[in-house]
Amino acid sequence: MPIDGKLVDRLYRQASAERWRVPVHRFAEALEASAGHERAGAQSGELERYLTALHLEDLALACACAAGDESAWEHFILEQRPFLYRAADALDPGGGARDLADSLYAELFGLRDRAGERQSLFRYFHGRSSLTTWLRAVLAQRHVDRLRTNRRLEALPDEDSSDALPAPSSPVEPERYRYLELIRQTLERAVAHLPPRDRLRLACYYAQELTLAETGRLLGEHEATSSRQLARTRRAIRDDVERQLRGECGLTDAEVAQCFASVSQDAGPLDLKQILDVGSGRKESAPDRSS
Amino acid sequence: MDTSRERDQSIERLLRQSLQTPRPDGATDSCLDAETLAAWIDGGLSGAALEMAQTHVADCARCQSMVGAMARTNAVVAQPEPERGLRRWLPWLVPLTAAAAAVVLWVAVPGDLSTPQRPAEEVQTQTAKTNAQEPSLDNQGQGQTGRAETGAASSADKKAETQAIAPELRKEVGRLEADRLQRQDAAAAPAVTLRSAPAAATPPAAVAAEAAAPAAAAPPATPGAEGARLARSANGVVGTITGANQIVSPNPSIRWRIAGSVVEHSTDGGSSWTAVPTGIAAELTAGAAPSTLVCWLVGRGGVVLLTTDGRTWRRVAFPEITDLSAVRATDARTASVSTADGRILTTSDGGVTWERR
Repeated sequence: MPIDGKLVDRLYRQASAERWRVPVHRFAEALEASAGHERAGAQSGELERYLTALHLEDLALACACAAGDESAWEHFILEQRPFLYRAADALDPGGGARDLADSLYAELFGLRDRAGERQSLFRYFHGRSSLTTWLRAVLAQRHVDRLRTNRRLEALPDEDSSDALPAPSSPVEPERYRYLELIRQTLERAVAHLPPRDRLRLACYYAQELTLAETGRLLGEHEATSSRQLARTRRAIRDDVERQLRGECGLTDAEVAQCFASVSQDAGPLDLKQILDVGSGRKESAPDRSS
Repeated sequence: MDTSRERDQSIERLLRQSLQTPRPDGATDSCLDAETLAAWIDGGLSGAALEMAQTHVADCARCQSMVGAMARTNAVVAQPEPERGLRRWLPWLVPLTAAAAAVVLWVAVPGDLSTPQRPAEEVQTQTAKTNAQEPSLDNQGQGQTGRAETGAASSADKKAETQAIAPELRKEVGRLEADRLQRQDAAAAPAVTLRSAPAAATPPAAVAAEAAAPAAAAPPATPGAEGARLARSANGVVGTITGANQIVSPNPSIRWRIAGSVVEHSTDGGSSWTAVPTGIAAELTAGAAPSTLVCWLVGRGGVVLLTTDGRTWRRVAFPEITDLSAVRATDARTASVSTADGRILTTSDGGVTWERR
């Protein structure tokens, strides 16, 4: 997708790309890659708006680093390493994520040659965010994937028993486990019925333990709105659960009360992440909006 | 007893319980790549792209974990940036100086200590006045240059900047007020005297009002302000809580600070900080340090941490999985913890048992 030369020149100056001696054609390629990645540019006005909104200085720095410019690298390391290390420490206060941060440098420098050309991780940076945020995202992705891999390598309980409630340590009334199972199923259905945005809010707040402010920021709403929406969603879930317990499970009011009472003692291992995934099956059967 | 409130709590408990069981599943083609995730976080996604990302993450455990990991690094990464920080604070230099001066004056001039909210109100009034003047200056500039469109954009930028700075300003005002309260405490109880807590303290009106609010489970938006309020309400409490997430011991050189789940320790009054591992991932919200070696921290999901040597932390069992918003402590055994919905639980045996008040 060729970009008008005058626009490239203007963006080049705006990015202060000459500071890192980035060739104009290289910078233009980066802009084109970014526009292609976003599939922006059906109309020239739209393309210009998109390109102007990019983090151009960071994009120029990334171009220079990818090309191996020494002064750019020095600047990059000096500026970004403290952020990267602090992010690593925040992810794993025990220091376990620092090796991930260190290993990123090798990939950013691009040790793996392909057809004589160094392939740097920087080629995936398209300027839609700051370089700092992108690095954090790469680190977060590596960290999460490593945790998930390690978890898979750990001895998992039998498939059949992974979802089962733990065996009672003392003889307790069997009715309580029936109630727990019922409330678990109805909760699962209630969450699956929620709109994706509400499920995302629940996942952020309960599964990922984000604060209301963080949740709100992610959803583009004020934290007070997040708080209200969470309360509304909880009410909706509760109403749905009660409706299902009465209607579909045929429980009396007293039995519904016992269901909730059993939860207040010990719900056992209920997995919201699993519950939220139920929605994905439902959603995937819906028309694909990504194409 | 099965009240509506208890049912709501049961639903919330059910939702929280899910965190105990991790779910293994792999990446898919539709998972967000790091670049898209970063663009989302920085506001670089909009329209269909944003909706697509949100819809995917709503149902993808891996991407949710990535979003969570990003959020956990937000606070820590946002801390330094000295140059940009200074530039952003520059426009607030005058109002902040005025605020600080107002607080200093209020502390210096003896007055009625039974109305401790006045300085904060004064500070807010000062700030409001200064804020009110800024747009008119902008308008003048626009009128002079005649560049209405540019001026509007600049005004919008200014508004966005103002909105971004407002929480920081609030935090700063909270910190100033908390510092004042700390000085009051120091004046009332010289050295490190331990005073006994009132036998039947009534929760402050603000906390009671919060408990009655519909979104009862919401954690406080400004821990600094919450800390200041708690300190204000807690006559006879030695543990000092300051704003800006710093917990200062009776010896001001020794202090801790919290950001998300990260805890740092300083022995030189905050000039340098050392991260201390706690082994927990939950967000910490408040703390109290009754001595230079003892510090209590509380956080979301019933997290209570205690150190008795200043550096190593142990998790103290807490009877409820609920967000905790404040803590007061007199030593390593005695502490009162406030939940986000306004209840107070106390321990006098280092967290072995807890009692509702």
